[in-house]
Amino acid sequence: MDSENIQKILRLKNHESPEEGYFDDFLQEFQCRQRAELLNRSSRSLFIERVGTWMGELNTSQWLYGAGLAYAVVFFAVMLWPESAVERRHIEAPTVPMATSVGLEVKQDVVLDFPSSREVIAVGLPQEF
Amino acid sequence: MSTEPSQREIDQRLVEKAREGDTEAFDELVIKYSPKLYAMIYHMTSNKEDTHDILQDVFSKAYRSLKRFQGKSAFYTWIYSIGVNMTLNFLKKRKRRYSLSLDDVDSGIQNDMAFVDSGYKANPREGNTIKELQVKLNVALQQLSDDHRAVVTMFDIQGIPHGEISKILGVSEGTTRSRLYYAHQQLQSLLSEFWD
Repeated sequence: MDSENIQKILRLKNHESPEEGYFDDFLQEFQCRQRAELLNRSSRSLFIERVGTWMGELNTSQWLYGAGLAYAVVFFAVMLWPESAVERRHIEAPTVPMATSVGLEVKQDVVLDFPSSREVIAVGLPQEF
Repeated sequence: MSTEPSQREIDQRLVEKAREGDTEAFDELVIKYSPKLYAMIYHMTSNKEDTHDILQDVFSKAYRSLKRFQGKSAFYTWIYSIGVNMTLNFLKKRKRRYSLSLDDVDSGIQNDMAFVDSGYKANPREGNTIKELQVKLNVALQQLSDDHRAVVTMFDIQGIPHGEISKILGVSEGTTRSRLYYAHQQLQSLLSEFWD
C-alpha cells in the first residue's frame, strides 16, 4: 500500500465533524470564559497593568514632575524621621568638666596627678580614687 | 481597479481590532478557525472531550498573547502553532498519567457524516463496517508517536503543505518529510487489512 492509498483512507476522517450547533455553543462558552477571566484578574495585576499603561503614556515633562515629587517625598521623610537614641545621648551629654561639678577649681596648664590607691591608704585619705 | 484583500490582510485587520479591545473581532477569528483547529486536535487526541477543553485553552491563550503576534507569519499559522504545541503538551501529560485504553478512543463523532451516505444508512451491515473503520483508523493513529501523528494529521488528513507544517512545528522541511515517511511506513502495516 503506497502513500497515496494511505492518504485516501486517512482523508475519510475529514468527514468526521461534531454535532450541529457545536461551534455556536463553543463560541458562547468561550465568550463566558473570556468575561470570567477578565473579572477574575486580580486587582494587583490590573493595578500593575494600569501603572504600566500610564507610564507608557507619559511624556518628558510628566516624568520630570514625577521624579521631583518622589524627591520631595524622600526629603521630607528624612527630615521628619524621629531622632535615634544615640543622637539623643550625645546631645544630652555634660559639657562641664567633672572637677568643677564637684566644686574643685580647675586651673589650666596644671596636670592633675591623682594619687594611686596605695598612696591614699598610706596617708589615710579616704579611698575615693 | 479594486483588489480584494487577502485572507492574511483580513485576519491582520481583525487582530488589530481585537488588540484594541474589540471582542467581536476576535469572535470572528474563533468562528473562522475553530472547525479546522477542532479537527486537528481531535485527530491528534481521538477524544472529543479532551478536544473541546484543549480548543478552549488554545483560543484563550491566543487572546491573551495577541500583543505578541507580530504579523510576520499568517495568523492561521500562528494559532495553528499554538494549537499543535498545546495538544502535544497535553498528550505528554496524558501519557504520564495513564496509558490510553481503547475505551478512551472515540469510535467516531456522533452524528457525523463520516463515510455515510443513504446507501450505507439503509444497510446496517455496511454501517457497522464504517464504524469499524473509524475505530481502526483512530486506533492506528494512536499507535504513532505524537510527533508523527501531528505531521500525518496536518499533511494527509488536512492537506497542509510541507513548508507550512515546518513553520507550524518549528522544524525544517526535511524533518517534516522524514517524519511523514516513517509514519507512512508504520501505517502501511497498521492499515494493511483494508487493502487485503
